[in-house]
Amino acid sequence: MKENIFADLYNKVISFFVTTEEPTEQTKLAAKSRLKSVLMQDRAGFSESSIQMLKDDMLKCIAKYMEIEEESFDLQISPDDDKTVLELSIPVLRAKTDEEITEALKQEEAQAQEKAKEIVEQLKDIVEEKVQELTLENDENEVSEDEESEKEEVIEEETSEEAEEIQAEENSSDDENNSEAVKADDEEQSLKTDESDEENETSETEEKPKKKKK
Amino acid sequence: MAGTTIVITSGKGGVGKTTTSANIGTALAKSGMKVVLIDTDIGLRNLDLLLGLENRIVYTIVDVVEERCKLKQALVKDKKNPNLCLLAAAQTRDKSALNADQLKDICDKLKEDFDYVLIDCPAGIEQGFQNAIAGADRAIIVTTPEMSAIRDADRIIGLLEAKEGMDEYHLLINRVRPQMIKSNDMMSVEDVVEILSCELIGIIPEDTGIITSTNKGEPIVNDDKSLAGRAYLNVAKRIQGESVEFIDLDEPKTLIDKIKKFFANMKAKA
Repeated sequence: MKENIFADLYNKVISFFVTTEEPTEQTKLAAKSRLKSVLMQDRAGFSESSIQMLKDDMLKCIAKYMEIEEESFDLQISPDDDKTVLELSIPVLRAKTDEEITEALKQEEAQAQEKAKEIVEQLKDIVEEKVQELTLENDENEVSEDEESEKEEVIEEETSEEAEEIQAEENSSDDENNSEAVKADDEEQSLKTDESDEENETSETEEKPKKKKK
Repeated sequence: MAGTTIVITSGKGGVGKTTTSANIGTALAKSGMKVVLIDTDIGLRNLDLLLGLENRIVYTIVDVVEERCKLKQALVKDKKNPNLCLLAAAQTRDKSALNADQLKDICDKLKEDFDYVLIDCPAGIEQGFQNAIAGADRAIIVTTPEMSAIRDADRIIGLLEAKEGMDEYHLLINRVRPQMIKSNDMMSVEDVVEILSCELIGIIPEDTGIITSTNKGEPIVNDDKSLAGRAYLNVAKRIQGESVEFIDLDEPKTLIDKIKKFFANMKAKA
């Protein structure tokens, strides 16, 4: 008992002065490796969803050629010196036979063809819609074109009417000018004839007394 | 010659950006450089507290940007250190009160009158961070030897690499505990530098004196006996281009440490 107490005391005193270096190098290396791995993923910039989509895609592809344990399918992106490496770990149960593989590939092609047909149908619908739209537009355009040409005709008529009116006005004003001129002439002439009449009259009256005097 | 703008950033919060800014700024000013410190943590300002200038703030950077005052009016001169000025952050607004171009403008103007414009960047990678790095020529990335801080620092380095006009950036590892590194409980300086592959500008040991210095409002560089203070002084020298050896933090300081070392050596030899 006494020895035990002394031993404990001795250990405690010594341990105060001496730090026993346990092999914790491993824990530090583990932490470093964790951190490096996380940084690689961060730097690569893969989003979680894109990795999941990659996984699903790969599963489908591999399942064509071999039977695999899907739950244990592991995909890791990890650092390898200064590169990033994609690591896959897939437990394989068995390889598929050639017939199975060809069957799987046939199925795949059939599915692809179905999809292609669907797409063609969709395109057809879209094209039809577009064509309808365009024909409607065209009709509208024609209608509006007709309207426009009608309008144009109307405008033309109106303008020609106006032109005629203007012409008529000009003509009538010409006529007026003419008639005024004519009137003026007439007046002049009448004046002149009056004067000449008067002269004649006076001459006649002069002659008359002359005649009487004789 | 125009001054240099240095942004002190980290990504992770609480690793020592503001402490580093206050101390580097004070150290540079003590060595004769004209320094202006800008606190861009709008809404959560703390640089004023660390410098003991919290009662002297009349105008903030938001007042300058919204033209309620001139830039010069918002600069608070440190009476204990006349080469040092502070441009405080607004406390009653948030980081949307400022945009990157505005801060860049302010930095360009200040560069004409100061040798060093130090920007204390807020934590995160959003608006505050984007503002702070906009006008910077150089960057100091502060990290601690912990996984989360290193991860965030790595992201920040990535973002800085992508930024145009960022001439150089360096790493400052803060709160280093040499004993823990020895016992492999903390990643070493070499580990951190290897992981982040960034050049080192400073190693600051964990120092309880930091807490006291904040309480007093006096940056720890003013304390000659403090190891952290000496380390910050060295960082300031390196910023100015001087090549200074890193302090060996393993050196036994107290008598007990020396005795421990003596016994440890004995055991190793045995």
